[in-house]
Amino acid sequence: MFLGFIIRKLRFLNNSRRSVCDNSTENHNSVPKQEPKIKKQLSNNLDCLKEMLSGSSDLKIHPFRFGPDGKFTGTLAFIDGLVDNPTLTEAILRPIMSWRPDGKTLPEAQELADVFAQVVLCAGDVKEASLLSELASGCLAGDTAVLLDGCPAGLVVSTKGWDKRSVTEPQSETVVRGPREGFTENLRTNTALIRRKIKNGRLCVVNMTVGRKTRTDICLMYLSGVADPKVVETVKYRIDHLDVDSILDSGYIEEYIEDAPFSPFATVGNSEKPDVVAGRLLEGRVAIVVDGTPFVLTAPMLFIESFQTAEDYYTRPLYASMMRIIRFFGYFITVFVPAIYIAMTAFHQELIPTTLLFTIANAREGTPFPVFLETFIMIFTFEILREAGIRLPRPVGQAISIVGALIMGDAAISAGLVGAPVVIAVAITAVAGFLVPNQNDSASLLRVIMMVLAASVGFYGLSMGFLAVLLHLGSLTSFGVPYFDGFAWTSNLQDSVVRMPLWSMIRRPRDIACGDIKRRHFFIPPMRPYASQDEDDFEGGGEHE
Amino acid sequence: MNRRIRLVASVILLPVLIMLLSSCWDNHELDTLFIVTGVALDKADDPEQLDITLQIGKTKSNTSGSGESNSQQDSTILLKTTAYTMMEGLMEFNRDSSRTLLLQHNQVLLLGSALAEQGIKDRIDLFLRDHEARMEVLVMIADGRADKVLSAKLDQEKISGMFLAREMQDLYAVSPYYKIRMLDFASRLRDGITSPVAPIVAMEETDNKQEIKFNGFAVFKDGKMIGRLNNDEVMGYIWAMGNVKKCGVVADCDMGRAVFQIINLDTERDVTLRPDGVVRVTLSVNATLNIGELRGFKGKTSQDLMRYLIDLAQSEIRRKITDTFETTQTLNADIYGIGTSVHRKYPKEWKEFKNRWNELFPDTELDVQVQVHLPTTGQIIKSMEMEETRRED
Repeated sequence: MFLGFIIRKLRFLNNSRRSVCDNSTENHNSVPKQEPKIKKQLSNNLDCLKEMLSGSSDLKIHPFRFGPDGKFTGTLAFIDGLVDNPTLTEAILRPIMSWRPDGKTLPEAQELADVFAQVVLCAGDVKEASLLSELASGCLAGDTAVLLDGCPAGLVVSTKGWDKRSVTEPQSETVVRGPREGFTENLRTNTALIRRKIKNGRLCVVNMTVGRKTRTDICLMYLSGVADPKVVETVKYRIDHLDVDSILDSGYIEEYIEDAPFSPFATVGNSEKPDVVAGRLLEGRVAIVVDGTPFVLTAPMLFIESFQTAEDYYTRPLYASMMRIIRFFGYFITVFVPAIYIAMTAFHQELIPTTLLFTIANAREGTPFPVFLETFIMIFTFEILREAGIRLPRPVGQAISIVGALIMGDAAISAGLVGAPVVIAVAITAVAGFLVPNQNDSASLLRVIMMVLAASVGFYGLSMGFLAVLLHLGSLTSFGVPYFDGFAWTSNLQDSVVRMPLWSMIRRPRDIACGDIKRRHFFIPPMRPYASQDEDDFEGGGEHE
Repeated sequence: MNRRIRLVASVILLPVLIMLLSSCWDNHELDTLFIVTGVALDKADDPEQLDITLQIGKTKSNTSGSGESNSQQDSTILLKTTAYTMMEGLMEFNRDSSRTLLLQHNQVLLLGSALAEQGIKDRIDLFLRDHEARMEVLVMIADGRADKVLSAKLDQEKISGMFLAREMQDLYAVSPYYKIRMLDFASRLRDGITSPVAPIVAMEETDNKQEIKFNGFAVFKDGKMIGRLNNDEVMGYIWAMGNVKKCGVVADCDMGRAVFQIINLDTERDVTLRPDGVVRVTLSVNATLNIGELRGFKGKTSQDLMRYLIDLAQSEIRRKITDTFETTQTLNADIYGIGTSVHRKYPKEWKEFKNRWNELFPDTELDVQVQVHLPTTGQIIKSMEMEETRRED
């Protein structure tokens, strides 16, 4: 409630600041009108271009002479490392050098740009430019600028080609069964990976550029006719109205466009796997592909999405349902077990069976700290170990886990600093947390809050905390869709706590998809063998006749 | 807007205030507690006073202690005092000991037989009133002094309170009527119609070994122990109440000795009021038995014996039930709750009976009808002895 107030304040400040910014961008926009056009004189243009790119040393300028008897002069300008050299040679240099027009129909120097674009160059994407700034931005995007002496226009030829990571198995989401390809840092590769999953003309791709300095390319993808137009509009609106300096990862976008910025729960989903994103697109969600990161955002996101994995749909439904229920338990355990342990041992000893009470009491005997501090220290240590394991290079990371898990845990118990039950409780908490990696951040936070509540008022505080979390979850929305959708009776329960067989999921999620809501029209269970293949069935068929 | 802010603020502040109110109120770290596992009450020299003994399960640090301290002497602490009321005793313990007493895990309330005979109605108030002392506590009567039972050093369990609780749990599987909790005991005590019973335990010492034995049931009337049922009579009581799951029936006859195991025994009770004012109780016992062991019965096969064995079991069950009933009639203690059954069936007449139940109960007639089923003979049909004699033939 207070958070809402803060958010409103921030929005207000933001709006006022934006109006200031709008003025500045207008000023900014008015500058290019006086920006130098491409002039006839080549050396003049080149100087201007160099100046616009701050005289960077990786701007390569390659002057050449061509035409009959080397009559014309021209220049290629490109950024070294961003262009694909074979393409440059094959598409631009070779055709120009070998261009031998008939002597009589030799074009005027002013028309050369047209002729080149239409006749000479062997490139798929050639744009004519009249402004130097167009050439500059083309160069920065990896294209090659062709300037010709005596011609008041330049050409921007697409020669993008830089070193990029190939499509590999994603690090964050691994599967035993299912596609193993993952997104890369390259925008076009990523959109292509999604297109390869959904070969449908209704898959819309909308390009956007965000970031004043970074000019990052962003692609919005959605299935028109399935995705809710309102959600698409909202996403577009929010991205359009971003006024940021830089976008280095999709996390930037997520933070700017999410519904509840102060919630511990993420309201924008992300995935590294094309099949997952394709699946979400087919449910009517919008994907935001950001250049330079393999993490593709999907919106709207529901709470239940964190508990669904790609593999749920590739394995048999009974097993998938069991694993999903285990995941729910895992999340509950990772949030509540330390708190329950504290509440039981410090407040409600009568809840513990007598034999277990003696076991715990024996372990607690002689430990110096109160149970809350003891648990907190262990949780804190675990978070330290986890962070250390992630940040360190892999070989060292293993050493850390050995030192942390084996030596420190064992030594802490035998030295009498902590009791063994605490270590067990923290261990199960930690392991259970890995079952739902998407909600790991919210779990870590809630766990500590619950521990504090349990340590101060026992189960009373714990139940209050639980209710507060439930209320918060119930009030969250993601792009207008209730966050807790998927548990309610009004939503599709075929794919919530349990996963029903695929052939029984006729409808797409009701609150997300719009328009083309049915995946198919009939309830189609798997086919049974033909009657003639089975004797009993054959006899049955005979009777029927 | 102002009202809204005030509402929001109050919604936030109220839970916070509640937290301040109760902050760490009942917070007891485990290592600041004495876990009470048994309470013994005995008659003191001054009849107004009580000898109170608390048994406390000792917690040992796993890490620092060497393995030698596992002997039984170290596993419990006995706290003793003499006080007018239980609460005074507890207050004294709390004052004089380093830790707070945790009564919630108390397993058993042992009453010395001398105290039980003197009367216990005014002694157990705390166990009903205090929220920490739970109604689940077992009530037992010690043969002799109760603190002796608590101080017993046993081989089977280190803590004798835990031993008693486990043994009762074991017997509970046989019949729920073995396990007498504070709730059952106190409600019967209050009721006044049905006499409370409680198991009697005794500490016996042989060859430097201490054991706790189960010595039948104590029968109470008006808050005083007026008699006891021996182990055989307890069986008669258990069978009369029904819902027995596993129990032995031993039958002796001229031909040999047969031991049956009860698989299931159910009893239906019906009371009828005869015109002359005598209550007639009909118990229909329906038992499914299994032959546990046969000794003797030379020259017979189980097939021939089947009819005979069924009769044998029936008469044995009937005999024990009747014996126990007669004992209770001589004690004039209705431990079965027959009065309650009469109340249920004849609510109008009961108004008159209620005050005369003490006179009526000894005249009550009992009719026991036993149905025994012997579905199998066990894994063998004939015993070794039977077969031998057959070969001789």
